Amino acid sequence: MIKEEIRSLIRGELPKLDKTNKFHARFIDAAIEKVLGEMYTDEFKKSPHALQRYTKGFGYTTAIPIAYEASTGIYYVSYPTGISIVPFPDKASGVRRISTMIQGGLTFFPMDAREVDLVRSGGNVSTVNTKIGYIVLPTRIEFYNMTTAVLNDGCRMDLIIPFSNYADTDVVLIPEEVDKGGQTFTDRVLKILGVIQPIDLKDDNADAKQQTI
Amino acid sequence: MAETSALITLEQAITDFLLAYKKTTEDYVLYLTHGCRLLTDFMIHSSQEARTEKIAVSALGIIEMPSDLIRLKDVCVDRNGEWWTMTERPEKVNTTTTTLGVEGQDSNFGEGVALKDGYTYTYGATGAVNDYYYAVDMKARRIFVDGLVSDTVLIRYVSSGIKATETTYIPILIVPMLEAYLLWKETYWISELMRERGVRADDYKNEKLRVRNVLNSLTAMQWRDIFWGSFTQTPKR
Repeated sequence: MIKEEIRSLIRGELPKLDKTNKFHARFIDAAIEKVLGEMYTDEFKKSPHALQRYTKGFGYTTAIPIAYEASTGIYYVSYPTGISIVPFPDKASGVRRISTMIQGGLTFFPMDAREVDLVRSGGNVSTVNTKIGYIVLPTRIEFYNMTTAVLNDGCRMDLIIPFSNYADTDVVLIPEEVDKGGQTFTDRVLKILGVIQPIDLKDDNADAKQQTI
Repeated sequence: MAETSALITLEQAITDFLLAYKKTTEDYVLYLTHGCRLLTDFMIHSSQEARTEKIAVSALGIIEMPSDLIRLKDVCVDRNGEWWTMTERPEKVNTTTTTLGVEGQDSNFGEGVALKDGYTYTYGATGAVNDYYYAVDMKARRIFVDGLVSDTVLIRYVSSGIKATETTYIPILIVPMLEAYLLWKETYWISELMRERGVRADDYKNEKLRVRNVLNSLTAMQWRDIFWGSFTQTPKR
């Protein structure tokens, strides 16, 4: 389903508490996002490989440029505009894969910042390794051992992004899983939304806000 | 090339391992670290491979060891198309005397003095003696040579196997041993596998023994040479 349809499905399932039924789209998205995040994490726990199925690719038509920060000597890429990632406990976090534009063998592998410090301190890895480590940070992705060729060509990446970051027309894949209580994705979203009356949505619900003034 | 190469890069061995054991690239750098350690361990303890290098002997009869030398296996000179091995004499004087900033030798202290072979006439005469001797000073990373100066000799030595500036290759012969080693070592950082540590350590030992069996055993043709070499030909009458 595309994002709009998922939201519409949830809206349609919501109890009709009054004639306005004013659940704001952003609020529904937030509930979906929370449940999806939990379901992605469940998938991760079963197998980190499985997360690849829920990624969105960036840089496939136009490479994502790699920047150099002179003050730190760090090569990095910023996340695409308006895009963040869903964090996961492993080093790759929501950046499940980074590749060269032209598909080749393994070129990038995830590292954490501590490992970069240790590898840079010496040891044989820095001598033998020809691949590029990527370090996932909240605002950008940094690189270890960047090469001129990759720097010039840029890269592409597969990210797990929050539901709110998808365009309305994007297909969003939802893990077809039920939780231990037998609840499906929609059950779980409705459970979050079900405890809140539409009238209480003061943040975004314009009609409700006017009523309380 | 008719079939796949007998050498693969260490990195390729690690990526093959990740693929074969359904692992993510999450710990690539850890496996590569342990791969390097295994290779060095193999070079020191199991491999018969020696790095060969022609090296200069100074006017003082001193060889400066290559920086990658871990253990010296041989010091040789060429004789009749083959390498002639020098004899180690650890008691050779291994000091020098520096005068006005110039390193030299004080013969009063035995420095640079040619070694003498023990000799006895008639009964109890010594056997053959070598023309060349050497003494190793690992701390100073020097080899003191007796029998020649200002010349070039050949040394064979064990190195780490890890190339400083070129690609590091490993023989595919040791890939099963490498994989068993990585599966053993990962039990140190994957806590769920802690109980398997002993079993995996045994797996590694077995794989190591298999490699050593191949390296240390003789081929059928070599056995045949020994067998036939033990015969003495006699004229047929």
